[in-house]
Amino acid sequence: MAEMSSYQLGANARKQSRLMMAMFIFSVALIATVIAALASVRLPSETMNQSAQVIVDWYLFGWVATGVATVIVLTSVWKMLSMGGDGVKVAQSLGATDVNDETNDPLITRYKNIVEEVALGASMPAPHIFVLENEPGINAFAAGSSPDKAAIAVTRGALKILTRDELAAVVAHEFAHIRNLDMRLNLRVIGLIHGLMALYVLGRILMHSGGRGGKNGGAQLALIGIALILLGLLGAFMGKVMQAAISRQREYLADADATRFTSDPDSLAGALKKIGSLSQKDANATVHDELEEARHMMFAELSNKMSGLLSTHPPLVKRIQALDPSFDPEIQGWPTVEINEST
Amino acid sequence: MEWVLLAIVGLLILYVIIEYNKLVRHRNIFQNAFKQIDVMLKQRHDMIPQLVNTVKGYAKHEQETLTGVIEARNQAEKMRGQIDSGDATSMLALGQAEGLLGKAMGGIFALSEAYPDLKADGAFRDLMEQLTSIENKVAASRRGYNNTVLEYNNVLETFPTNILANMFSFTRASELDFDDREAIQNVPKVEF
Repeated sequence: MAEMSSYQLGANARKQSRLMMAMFIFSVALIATVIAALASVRLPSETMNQSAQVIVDWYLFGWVATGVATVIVLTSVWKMLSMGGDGVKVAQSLGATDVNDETNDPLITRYKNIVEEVALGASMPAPHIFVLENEPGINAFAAGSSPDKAAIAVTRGALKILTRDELAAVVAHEFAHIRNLDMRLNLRVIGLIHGLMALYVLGRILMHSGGRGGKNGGAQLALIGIALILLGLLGAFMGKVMQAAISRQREYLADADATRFTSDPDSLAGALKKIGSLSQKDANATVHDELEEARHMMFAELSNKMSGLLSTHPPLVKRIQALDPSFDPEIQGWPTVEINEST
Repeated sequence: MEWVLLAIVGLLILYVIIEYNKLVRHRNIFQNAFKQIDVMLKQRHDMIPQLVNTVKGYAKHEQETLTGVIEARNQAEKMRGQIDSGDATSMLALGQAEGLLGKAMGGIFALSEAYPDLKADGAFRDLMEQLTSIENKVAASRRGYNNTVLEYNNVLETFPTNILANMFSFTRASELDFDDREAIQNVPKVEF
């Protein structure tokens, strides 16, 4: 039955990304209309208020609406392109070390073997592999917008602390992100948030120039500026909430798929429990600051202070309980973590 | 009246062609999946002499275990050489041979517990890692193969395709199971 519900989740996720694109188009259209209306509607001047008719300059309306929509879409696309669908570049920019040609480190050899095994289990090509050196905590990420441009990175801590099977489970989770095209979806959301932030910047420019401009036209410009700022900020915030909600859903889906690739839910639960016990001691924070930008891509939430609407991962205990329903940290406690230096 | 009959015959022929191609496609898929297992099994077999050589240096008195592994390996390699993918008897023979080999290798892994020097040997540890990896790859490709066999059999045995399959002598394919069958069936189910 696990299979069924996992497929259902997959269908839900696809529906979700279509819904998101629809919402994006809708909000771009809405924002463009509101701003164009603000720009083109002239309230009747006071001298002739008897014929109180609103005059709409349709020509201006069309131009402003097209302009606003173009700014949002272009900024989104630019951000998406500059973020890159190329997983290797993303991994490098996040400070990960390429270990594809490393042969002397037994931990790396094991990691490489595991990636090949999971690739077979998932019927996918093996991605480019990276290690986040100097990271004592357990974490991992996948990057790249399609399976053939994908990269996977795990922390040195994950290589040291996790057992072979647990590391395989974490790698399988990242494979699931790649196969479900989660990075592509995330790229779109980030692009969208950037497009909306562009409105905010535009609004500030208009407000300043409006303040200096002529009496009537200036006031209208400032008004449009304020509207842009508000809509931009509100939109970006909504975008972040949406991004976090989608990301949380995707984490559950990736956990479910990972257990299908490896047929081993216990090891995934084991890896999550070890993360839990490290977090209890505040020992699972990351050292690389660049990773903050990629926190939605990480295997485990970067800081456990983040919660509620904006957290990108489901609560750790809930993720574990989905795999091991009997788990309760209040009763069993978190497992002790031994760091195995030699193997 | 005639064109109605002609249309029905035409549709029937079209249906036969489509179903026939579907059968061929599924047969190719599972045969291809078997080739992948075959590659993995060959790698597994090729590593065993190396393993035995490494162990020999540390565990001279375990000649029996080592010969057992070599024999099981040779038997499995022989089965692998004459395999007919999907055929029930040859799948069963290969499964048994590989199962025996797995057990014999388990004996070697157990030896490493009794000989700490062996366990600490870097070359032995590298070999163990490679063997573990191969075992996992064999398991993964075997799962993949068994899934494709299931799909093929489903197409083959569903009415009315089963009539066509009979006519063109497509035969039921067999899954590949090692003796660790129980372990695989006992995988816990998870609800999400």
